[in-house]
Amino acid sequence: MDKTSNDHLDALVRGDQKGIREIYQQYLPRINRLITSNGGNGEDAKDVFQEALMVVYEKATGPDFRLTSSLYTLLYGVCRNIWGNRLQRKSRTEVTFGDHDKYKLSESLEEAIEQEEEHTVFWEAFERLGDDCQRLLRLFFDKIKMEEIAEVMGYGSTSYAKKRKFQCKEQLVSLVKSDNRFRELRP
Amino acid sequence: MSTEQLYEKIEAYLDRAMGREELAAFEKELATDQELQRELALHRRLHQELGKAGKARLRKQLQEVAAEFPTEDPPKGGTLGKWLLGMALAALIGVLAWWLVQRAGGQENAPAPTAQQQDSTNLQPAPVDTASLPTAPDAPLQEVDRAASPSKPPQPIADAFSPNARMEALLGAKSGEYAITADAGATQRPDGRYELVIAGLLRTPELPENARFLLRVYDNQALGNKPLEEISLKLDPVEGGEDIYAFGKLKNFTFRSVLKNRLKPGLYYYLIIADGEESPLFAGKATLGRPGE
Repeated sequence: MDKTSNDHLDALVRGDQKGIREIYQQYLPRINRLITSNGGNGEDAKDVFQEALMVVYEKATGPDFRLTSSLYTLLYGVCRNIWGNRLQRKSRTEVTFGDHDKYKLSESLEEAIEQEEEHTVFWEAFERLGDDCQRLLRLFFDKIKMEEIAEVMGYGSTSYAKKRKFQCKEQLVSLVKSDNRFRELRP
Repeated sequence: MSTEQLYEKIEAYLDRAMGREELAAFEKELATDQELQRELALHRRLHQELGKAGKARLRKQLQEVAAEFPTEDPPKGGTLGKWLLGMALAALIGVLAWWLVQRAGGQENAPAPTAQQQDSTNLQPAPVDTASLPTAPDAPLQEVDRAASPSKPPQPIADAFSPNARMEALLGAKSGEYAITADAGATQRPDGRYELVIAGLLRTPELPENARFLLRVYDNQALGNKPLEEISLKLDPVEGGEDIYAFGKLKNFTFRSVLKNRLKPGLYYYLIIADGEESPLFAGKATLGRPGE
């Protein structure tokens, strides 16, 4: 594949800010056209683009991934699929775009997109929690011991840390469960 | 089993930290209890996904970079097809209005409710009660406050991040028949100000039809007890409605409010009160940005 595609993919995986900015610069305007000419707005376009980048990141950090097309073709195909799914859920009918087979995705990629749709609900719920809950749950999901969490968070006691962890997690779960998208993904 | 006990069990199971007997009992329950299966599956997926530190970092990074780029909406009016559809609709409304006027004509002088009027009222956004949305308190507002209550000169707090003792005292507020948990989340806008979102859960055995809850947000000065913003909470019932794990049955509602004011970095407090009551049902605080930013 061309050098830029691989460089950009590399930047995404390594979290290189400059490279990521280039990715947005080069690809977002075209994705924006795709989404806005199919019933979405600029906010939708950014949203879909971010989700697509997360799908590609997830794939690229997994085993056996190799770019077989340009990064742009891959991203475009993923965005098109994500937006198609969203429209489909909204209208409850099959949605087809009048363009090329070139963007047909592999089954494993379609599966990754479906998973990422759920992951987005998780992350957005997580990001809606307060700073304190986010920090605490970050440590908890990293499998740090409760004693240590209590110390890092300055809670004074392990039992309070446990209590607080429960509160934060309960809120996270309720935010996820009350998200319409989650209900539609997991009827 | 309380929700807390349920979570502990699920987590012990996921961590393989159960004793042999406990594990056998849990697996037996799991085999028949579909609700438990679903709950376990959700927790497993949450742990797997949210444990990915790389993704947490990347999401933040992507959001930051995305904010640097303009959000470009499609041009208003759209394609010829949409334009034609608009024209057809306008013509239809015109004919309907003419017909209504004709029908009402000669009967009364009162104007007939034409389709156009009805249509335009439908399109109007709900009126915003601006009186309950004071603007951010800059110097003039604070002076008004001081003038209004000369007997109690407020003690100005040194900076935007220092705690306010009176507000801190409310943080442990008990919520009585309404159990409320709430958390604040914020996103920084390109202008450096923050959009604050308060989201949470309200649980109650019964929600009276006329119950109204207010969210009030204060800065750390909280001068004259004047909120920066007051929002009426919109409660969404959680589907399935009842919390089957709690003792007794509780109805769950979620709420999420986005502040209209964009906030400067600083420490903020928020209270949730039942309309007409004095003491808060819930009090929380949020620090936006870091001192010195």
